[in-house]
Amino acid sequence: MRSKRTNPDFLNGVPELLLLSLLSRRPMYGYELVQAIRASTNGTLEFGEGCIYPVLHRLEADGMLSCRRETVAGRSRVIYRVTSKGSKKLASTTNTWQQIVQAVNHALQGTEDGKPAMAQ
Amino acid sequence: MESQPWLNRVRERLARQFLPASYVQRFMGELSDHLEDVKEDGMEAVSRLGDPEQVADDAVTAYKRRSFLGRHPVAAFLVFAISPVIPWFFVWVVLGCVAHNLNTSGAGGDTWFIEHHWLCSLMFAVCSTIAGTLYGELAMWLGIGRKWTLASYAAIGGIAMLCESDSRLSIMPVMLLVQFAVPFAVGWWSIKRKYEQKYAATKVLVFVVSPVVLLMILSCVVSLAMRPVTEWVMGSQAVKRLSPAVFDAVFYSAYLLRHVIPTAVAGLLYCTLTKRFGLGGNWIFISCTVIVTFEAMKLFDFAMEMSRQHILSIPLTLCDILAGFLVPLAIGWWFMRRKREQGQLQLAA
Repeated sequence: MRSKRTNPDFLNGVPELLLLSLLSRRPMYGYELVQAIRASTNGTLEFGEGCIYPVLHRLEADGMLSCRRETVAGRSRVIYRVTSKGSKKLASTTNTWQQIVQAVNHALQGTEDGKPAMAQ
Repeated sequence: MESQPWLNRVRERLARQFLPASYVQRFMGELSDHLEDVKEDGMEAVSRLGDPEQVADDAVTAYKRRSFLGRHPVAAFLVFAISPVIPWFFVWVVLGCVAHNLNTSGAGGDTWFIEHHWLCSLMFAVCSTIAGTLYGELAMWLGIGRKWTLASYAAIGGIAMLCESDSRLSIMPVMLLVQFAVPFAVGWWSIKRKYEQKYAATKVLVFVVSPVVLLMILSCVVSLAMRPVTEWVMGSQAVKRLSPAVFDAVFYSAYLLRHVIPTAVAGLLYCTLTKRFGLGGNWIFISCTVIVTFEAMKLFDFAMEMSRQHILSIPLTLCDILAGFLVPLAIGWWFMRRKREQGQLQLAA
């Protein structure tokens, strides 16, 4: 019964998935991350950029990210990195995400005999 | 909008939510850096960061979710509304030992508390205020907000009311008021000063003070309504012929009903009120805390009376605990779950 609650929870966690994915490629600071999200999604996702920091802080508190203040281009920045726990979480949520995308596509496109999957 | 006023609005909003200064400082630092970066790229900075209130609220929600108590309202309820009973139990034991020693040393013992009732009242009030402040500081440290601070003060104030320092009816109401009102007033003033919340006084009045009045009225109504029925049942020949075990079961059921009905009605009313005004689920628990405390007072009073008569009954005590504690807790929990499922509750879960 508990697995039924997974999908709404998971959809709520899309920003976390994106952040973990981008940070797994290289450590970044907040503004860099926003630019990376915009570039990697072709500007499809619109969001208030200030809202990224609470998500980063929560991931840090959960042990998914670590941060350190470093000097980048002459300015002090808070650089975020993915931890091993974050990498594991990324792997599992990516897998779940792909399953959901596949299932939703399957339902939207219909089955091989042309009938909508939901009607079965 | 200029970036500095935007940052000020975020800071003000965060200050009202009572987050730790170190977290606010870090968050504001990162937002300032971000604004500077956007400006350097030659873009309009403030519009890209979003609504300042929304950003601040997101930060508050995220911060609350960091702590276990913030993620689990029931655990917060147990810590802030129920656990104050534990330190008070120790205070009670210590005072009992003091009285015992005074008695054995010939200093008056049992009468000492009566002779020094104002000193005792003051002592209870001071202990309550200190305990309430500790719980308030804990709520602040965890960043889970003013409502739990208030719940602790209400619970501690209520428990302090239980500590009779004089049994004379003419003096007792004033002393009870001192023992409850002092810690509660300190808590309320502290919260009002720290949060500057406009409607704090109204909320406190509705959700903290009025449950006691309502519960007293409901208890009187239910008792009056049940009395003739109970007397008729207990006096009937059919009941007298019952075995003692069945008779006890009937008696306990009637006793339980007398407590369950008022608490259930009061709990449901306040849950509905909270929902109607679109307030957060914590207010449900505040009301439930008050109802629980009030029931605890009645339980204590009942237990004292029973112990005086040397007929302290464990089943009856358990019935009262069930009625007074579990009913409002279950109602509050059920409402929280329902509201959360409806997506109306912005609690971290």
